[in-house]
Amino acid sequence: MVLNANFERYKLPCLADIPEIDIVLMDMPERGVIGVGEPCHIPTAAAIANAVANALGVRVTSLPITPDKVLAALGKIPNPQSKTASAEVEAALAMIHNSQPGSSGSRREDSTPT
Amino acid sequence: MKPFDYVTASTPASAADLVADGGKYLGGGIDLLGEMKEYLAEPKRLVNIKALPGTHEIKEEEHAWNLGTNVTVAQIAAHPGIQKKFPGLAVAAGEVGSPQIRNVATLGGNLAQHSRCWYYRHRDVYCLKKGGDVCFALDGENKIHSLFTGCTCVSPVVSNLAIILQALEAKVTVLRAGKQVRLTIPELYHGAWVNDERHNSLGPGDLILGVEIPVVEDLRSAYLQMSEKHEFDWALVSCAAAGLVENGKLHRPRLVLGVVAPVPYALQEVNRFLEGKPIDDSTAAGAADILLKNASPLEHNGYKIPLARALIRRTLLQLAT
Repeated sequence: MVLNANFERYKLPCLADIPEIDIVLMDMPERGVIGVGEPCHIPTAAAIANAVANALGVRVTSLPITPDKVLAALGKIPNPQSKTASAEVEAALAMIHNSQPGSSGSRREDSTPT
Repeated sequence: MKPFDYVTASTPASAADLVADGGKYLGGGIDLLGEMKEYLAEPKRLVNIKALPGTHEIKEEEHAWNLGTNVTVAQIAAHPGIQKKFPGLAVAAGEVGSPQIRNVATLGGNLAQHSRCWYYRHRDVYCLKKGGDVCFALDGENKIHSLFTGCTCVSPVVSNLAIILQALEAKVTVLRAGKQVRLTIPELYHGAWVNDERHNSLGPGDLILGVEIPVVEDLRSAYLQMSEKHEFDWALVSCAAAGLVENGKLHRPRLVLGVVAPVPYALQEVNRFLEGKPIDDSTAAGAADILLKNASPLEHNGYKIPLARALIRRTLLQLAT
């Protein structure tokens, strides 16, 4: 099932993403005329995933292979802050506080940019 | 899309008059027409501002360059003077959308564009940004969202130009209630830091007229972003830096991160740390430590921290070359 709402987030590679393509003409008259459109799609993703695994030393087992998945596979992503029960309550209170007119609650005051 | 009136304004004052009572300014229309097609914006009147005199020009003066609000993103990317004097700005402009979008999108529109959060952009989702009670991204699909926010909404600023213009200490001229005011980039976006429903600090009738970039002799600048695609994609994280480099050491440095907060994210503490430091890996790591120390990653956006660290290092090193 397609979960993307539109093509902004259903990302199709464009010319800049595509490597140079080698075209090899096969002179095989005994085969006659055959189609090669779909068959190329079958091994392509697997071949790229193998190349990525070769480069990283670890496998990324879902597509597309995006920067977040590569960093996760490499163990480079710090653990997300564990959400404790008290944090949940605090977030809920902040939400109620924020929904009152005239209030400007701040969850992360200490990171105010200057 | 709902029916609307269309008028062309010939002066900024008449544009402001025409937009009152449910109108919207129309520049390139890249962001606005998308919102109208998705029923996120339903203006009664579109006020075309492309005929405003003097707003299509890039003026080079001794102490500052002035870019009109209708200067296209493509013009900025291709301008030889900008490429030489403000290389980071030319690169940031070249990373916007696709060639077709850059040819139509304007400087003013790029700065004023709205959130790309997929919950906000869905017409059936009534989120905090639209006046609802819940930020669905907090516990939902939050891969593209912010590491920092001053309110609850975690949709990040996505304008490339804002990030580099903050590093260049540019000022934005805004027509507000009949008067021209000059806002810094932090002032232009502060509204989004403190208020869930704001994309920036602009009021409904406020009109961006242009941007002034101060000329600092020998100033270097750089911009880098990381996206999932090489072209025609939003940055996952972006980074801009500007400063003077003498004997390999940084002076007057400004480091800014994009797409990690509702505003271009910078800390004076980081700029003070960088002052006088040699440009190398350990300086970059120190700056990243300070800038990212209060990051609050959500379930799916923790990867932005290592990405930001890498971009900070690469962008600073680019200043040295």
